[in-house]
Amino acid sequence: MTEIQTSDEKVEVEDSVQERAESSLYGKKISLKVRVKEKIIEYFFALNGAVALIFIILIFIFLFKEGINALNNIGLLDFIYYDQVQLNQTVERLFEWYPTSSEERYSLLPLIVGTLLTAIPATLISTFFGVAAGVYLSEIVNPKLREFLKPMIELFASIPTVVLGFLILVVGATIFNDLFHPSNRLNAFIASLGLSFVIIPIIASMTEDALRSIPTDLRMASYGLGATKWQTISRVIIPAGFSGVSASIILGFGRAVGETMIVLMAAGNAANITTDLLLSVRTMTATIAAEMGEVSQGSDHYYALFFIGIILFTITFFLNLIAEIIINKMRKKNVF
Amino acid sequence: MKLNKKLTLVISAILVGLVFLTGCKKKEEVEKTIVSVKGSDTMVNLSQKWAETYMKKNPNASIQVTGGGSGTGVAALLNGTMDIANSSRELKEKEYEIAKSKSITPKEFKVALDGIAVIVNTTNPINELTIAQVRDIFIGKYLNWKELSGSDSPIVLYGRENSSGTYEFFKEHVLGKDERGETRDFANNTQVLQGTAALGEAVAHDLKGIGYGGVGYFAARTDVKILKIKADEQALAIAPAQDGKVNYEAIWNGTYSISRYLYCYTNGTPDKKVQDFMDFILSKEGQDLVKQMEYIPLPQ
Repeated sequence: MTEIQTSDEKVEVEDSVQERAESSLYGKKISLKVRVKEKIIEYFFALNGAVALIFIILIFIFLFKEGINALNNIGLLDFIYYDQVQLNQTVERLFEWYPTSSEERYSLLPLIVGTLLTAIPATLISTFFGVAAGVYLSEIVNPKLREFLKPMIELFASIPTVVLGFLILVVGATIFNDLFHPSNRLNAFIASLGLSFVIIPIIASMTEDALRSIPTDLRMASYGLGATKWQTISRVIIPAGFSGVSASIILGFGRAVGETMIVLMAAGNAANITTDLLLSVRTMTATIAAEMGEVSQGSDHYYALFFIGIILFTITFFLNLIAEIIINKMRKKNVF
Repeated sequence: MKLNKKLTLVISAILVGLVFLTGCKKKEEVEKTIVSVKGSDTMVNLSQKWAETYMKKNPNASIQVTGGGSGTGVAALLNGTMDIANSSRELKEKEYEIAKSKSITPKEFKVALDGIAVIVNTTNPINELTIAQVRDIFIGKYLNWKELSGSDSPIVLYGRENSSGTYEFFKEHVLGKDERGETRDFANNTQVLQGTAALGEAVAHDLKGIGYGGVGYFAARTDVKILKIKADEQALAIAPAQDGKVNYEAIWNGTYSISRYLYCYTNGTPDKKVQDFMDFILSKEGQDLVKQMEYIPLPQ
């Protein structure tokens, strides 16, 4: 999770580095050797920062280079629908993802619908529980318990998603099936429950960070005006930390869109176009994971999978960007 | 200065480690001839059995078997990363073209047969279907079991991912071509499961479910029901397996119609280490293992 450091501190640190590089406390010039060493270390760290950036740019370039090839043989409209000519010369418009058929159909609609149908309910569930947990950690719990709870929650986030997917597939789906008899045993709802396990810790710990960065003066002022603890939380703290909380929800949603293993195992992978949570759906990520292994390199199908990759990357990239902007704004605002 | 010392230490440690690693690798290669096998999930168990028995007889051979689907195995063979590709279908025209462009000549060995069983939940009252009915179920023409004189509940389809040979075979063999001459597709609401084991699991849990997979997988299982298949309305219903035993005769003489050969593909005429293994597979001992593993040996 991001470490929230006030900009004041940063400025101080930078100042001291500057001072040391130019003149010591006794006004003597610092020896050349030390100065060179400082510079080398500085560049070393700069290089490391740059490497991360370069990798991201390279991934971008590679994805686009491969994915754009999809448009050579598949039109943009083919990614939306396919017109099938029937025997009696009528045309039926199909929205199907069926790249291995003799009439290849590449509609992304069922995959996008499937992705949203798992990610949105998961985000809603996680927002409810995650924000509640974050508020509890930041405002209510006693410090000793927090020392124990916060690492536990973060530990929860580190459970491999394969394990979660497996549990949902074997245990969760069976219990849910016996209780509610959904039309499909593996369905969008079960998958979104699985996703919630991944997103709740993210939202909880980011919400807690955001709320704790709110200055204590606000709380004190609220108590001073005679507000109860609950009134303070609901009318002062949450509105003040709103941007941070919403950033955490956006990040959680991005994670839900990008999660692969859980949906691959628990969503049933039928390319239905539906809004029924109890039906199987197929997400973009699961499609790439299930089909990338066997696809022959350089075929239309192969490039189409990369095209899905571009769409996914773009979605998550912008979600992260928006969240980052919000968080930065919040940091500036909360420095008094 | 301290930092420099540390750095040299770390770097030298890494170098020493690398030398060690390469050393170990080299040694093993001298000791063992490695044959890598990849492909059909249907054949994984069988292939592993062959490999185990073969390695017991030849301690200096190492056969490494992985699954992943016929398409995956063939792709690996074409990329030159595998010695043998297990495939539960013949190579496609497209794959032969790719092989040509990479100057690889796949050589085909028929190694065994496999029947495909159509399975339903044990509580399902239906015991037999015609091929046409099975086809219409999987293309989504029938939506409710009562249309097939079953109970009044929707039909839930389970299938395999499109890299699986079972999927390909079933699609070609059972679904066939429609009036327009295009191969029929599985219905859109078919749930895609990774592997025959997962599919069996799903059908065992789902009262409304129907799926398909190798007879070898399901013959001995009591938690799913294997349907008898009729070639047409008048024909006899033939079960691919009965009382936990595979019905060999029916598959050899073709009265049970959903059956196929299983293949191994090698790159060109295989070298000695691969050829020895292939000879073992086709020997009587190898074919006995096929029977033991609930697949169908080649007709003698």
